[in-house]
Amino acid sequence: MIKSSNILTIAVGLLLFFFVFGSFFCSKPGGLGDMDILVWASYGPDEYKLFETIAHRWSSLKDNPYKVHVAQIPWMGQESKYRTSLIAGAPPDIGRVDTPFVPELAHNNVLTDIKQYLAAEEAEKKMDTGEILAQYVKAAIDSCIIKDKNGVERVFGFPDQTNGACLFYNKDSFNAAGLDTEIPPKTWDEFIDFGKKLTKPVDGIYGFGMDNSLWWSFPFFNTFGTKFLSDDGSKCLLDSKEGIAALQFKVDLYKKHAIEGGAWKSGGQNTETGFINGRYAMVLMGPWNVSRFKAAKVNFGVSLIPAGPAGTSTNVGGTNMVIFRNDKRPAAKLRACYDFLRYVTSEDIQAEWASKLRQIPVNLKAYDKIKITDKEEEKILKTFMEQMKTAQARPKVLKYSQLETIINPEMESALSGNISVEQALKNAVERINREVLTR
Amino acid sequence: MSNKNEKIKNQEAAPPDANLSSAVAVIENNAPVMDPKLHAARYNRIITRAILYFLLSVGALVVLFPLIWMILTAMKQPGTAFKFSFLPDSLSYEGFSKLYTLDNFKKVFAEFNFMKYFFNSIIVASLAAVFATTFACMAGYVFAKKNFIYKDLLFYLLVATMMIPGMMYLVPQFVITVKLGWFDTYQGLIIPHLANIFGVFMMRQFMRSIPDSLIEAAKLDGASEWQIFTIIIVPMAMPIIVTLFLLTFLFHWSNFIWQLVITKPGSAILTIPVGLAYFSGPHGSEWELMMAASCFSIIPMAVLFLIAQNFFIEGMTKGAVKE
Repeated sequence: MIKSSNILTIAVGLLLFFFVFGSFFCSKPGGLGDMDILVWASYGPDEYKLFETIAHRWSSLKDNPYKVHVAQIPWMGQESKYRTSLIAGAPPDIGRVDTPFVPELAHNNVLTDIKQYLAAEEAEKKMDTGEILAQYVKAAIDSCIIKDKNGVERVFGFPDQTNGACLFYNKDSFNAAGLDTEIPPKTWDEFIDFGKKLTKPVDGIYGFGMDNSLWWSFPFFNTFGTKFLSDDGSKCLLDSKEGIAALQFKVDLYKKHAIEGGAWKSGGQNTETGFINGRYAMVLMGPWNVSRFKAAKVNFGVSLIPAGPAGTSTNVGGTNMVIFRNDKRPAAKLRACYDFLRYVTSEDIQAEWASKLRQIPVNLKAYDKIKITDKEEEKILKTFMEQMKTAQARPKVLKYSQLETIINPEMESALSGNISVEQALKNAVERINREVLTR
Repeated sequence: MSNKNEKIKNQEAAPPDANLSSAVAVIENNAPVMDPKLHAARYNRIITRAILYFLLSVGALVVLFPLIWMILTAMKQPGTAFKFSFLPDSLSYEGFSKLYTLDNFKKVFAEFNFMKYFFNSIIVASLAAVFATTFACMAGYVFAKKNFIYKDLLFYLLVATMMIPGMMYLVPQFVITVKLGWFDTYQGLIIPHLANIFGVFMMRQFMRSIPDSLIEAAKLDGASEWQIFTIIIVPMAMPIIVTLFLLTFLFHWSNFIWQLVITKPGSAILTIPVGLAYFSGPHGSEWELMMAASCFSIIPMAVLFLIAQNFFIEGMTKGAVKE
């Protein structure tokens, strides 16, 4: 039998062994040279495989001395990962980041402004000023353009992925309610009529399932013509008459028309689950769930967000590829990073990306080059692409998450009937002006 | 002896029905008359027990539900995690295969380097738990049984650091670890968390209940300090040592954020929490794959708890009782 003193001796010995030799068991940090470009990509498995192929193809281009190395990082916790790598002075050359994270990185002066490379390329190809940026989905490229302290617009990278919500509707529910599955509601008034026909509370079926976060409320605010920030970005305008009308409409869907099934409530069945299980006949949803709904054998269609007083519009999500600042990096390598991003977001690559992954391309020129054999899938993707033309970028503030934190509880109070819509938005605007926009 | 044999002969000779009826008569004559109060009490006890078992069963079901959901989701077809159907349309192979598949388990091993993550997590969690417990045990002994200047002040200062949220340490710990050259190494994963103040606190509280007379007796017998610690203190504190080992192992087994920031993307020493995060994206997770990986990732914890459950329960309760 081993004595406990011997166990402790072995334990201490093992500690010392690891202390001295531990690093032999693992990979060494660093190791990339001036001709290597490191990209941190937070893609899912299928996207990552395709991105690696694209990166390899670019590295193999004739007369290109640079090689791209792609490292996959998890989406969850990526902001902490970027922050700590910046503290350690070892960020990647290029990083894929969530769009609301860009203003914070830009504010901390850790990103490379690509304006000079845009100008250089436009001069080389004899293009008009701004012609390159005009190739991209407006709402998506807008998230890369940020004003500095002097009000000068700077461009931080390119969007690599963009998405927004459309109206998903359950065709079986439409059939059961005697509605035409090929003619979804085009305006919010029609939407209410459809909702009333689809709602059967006795069977636990509702016409609509609604999320209540700010991001999911942008389709309402945008279609009612709400301007979120003043032109100089110093004041929140959400409590304008358009903003009040938009939130009142949301509240009415639940309270007055009773076609919303309580998906926004904590403990309520969320929109995704409710749509899969037939509880909600209509939901606002993004393209990422198309394959999931198909796998769950939901018979569904996708249409534009119903038009409000300001027409149809939607929210914008997605990611941007940014080039991190590194003063030791040679200028030629910076240009190579820019060229790689231009390659990734070029019309041909974006068309390939959209065709293979059924995602919305960020380059408008790619729209006509997409080839999808499945007609139903092609129709869905085209609906999303059409919707993105009227999408509006979310407000560019230093901490977007703070907006959500402030507004969401106020909207929930209004939906619950605890306070009026006017009061909810007034409270939110006061806090946003005081806590977010003063920074 | 002869009388006894005669009785047996008579019994054998008598018809079986006669034996049975006489036995019943004896039982009926000797049966005590059931007191109605006693009868009611027994009835109440049965009802109470039935309600208790029912409630316990419901409780057990509630506790086990996440585990059952995890296993069933791990076997569901891709994209169907949130479809409320767990029973197949027909009890045939086709019926089951429409709803369930084992491909998720295969995919986790074939495409996601799960074995590598698993192996790394075992190394990190085991070594960290062994050393953190060892150091906490030693420190706890000193704070419980030794006297030195400012002992209490030092102890309370250490305990006060438990009030600071762990995330506050992330950046300074990261900077120090990088400066020591431990970025993306096992040392970087393990050593920064070896000083476990909660563990020291637990050990000290437990060891204070060990009688000083035992230590004095050992000293009289000529035991050295090391012998006192290893022969008397450690065996007596084994329940709390095992408890702390389990808690530390659990902490490192599921410590996501530190293991994410201190390793390079695609590193050879990535662990299970980081590996599981690859199944999550901006718009939800691949639940079927994540649950398949989770089914394997809980095995070491389950085995450890099963082996050490008696020690664990004793350790969790004993420190709270002043004898």
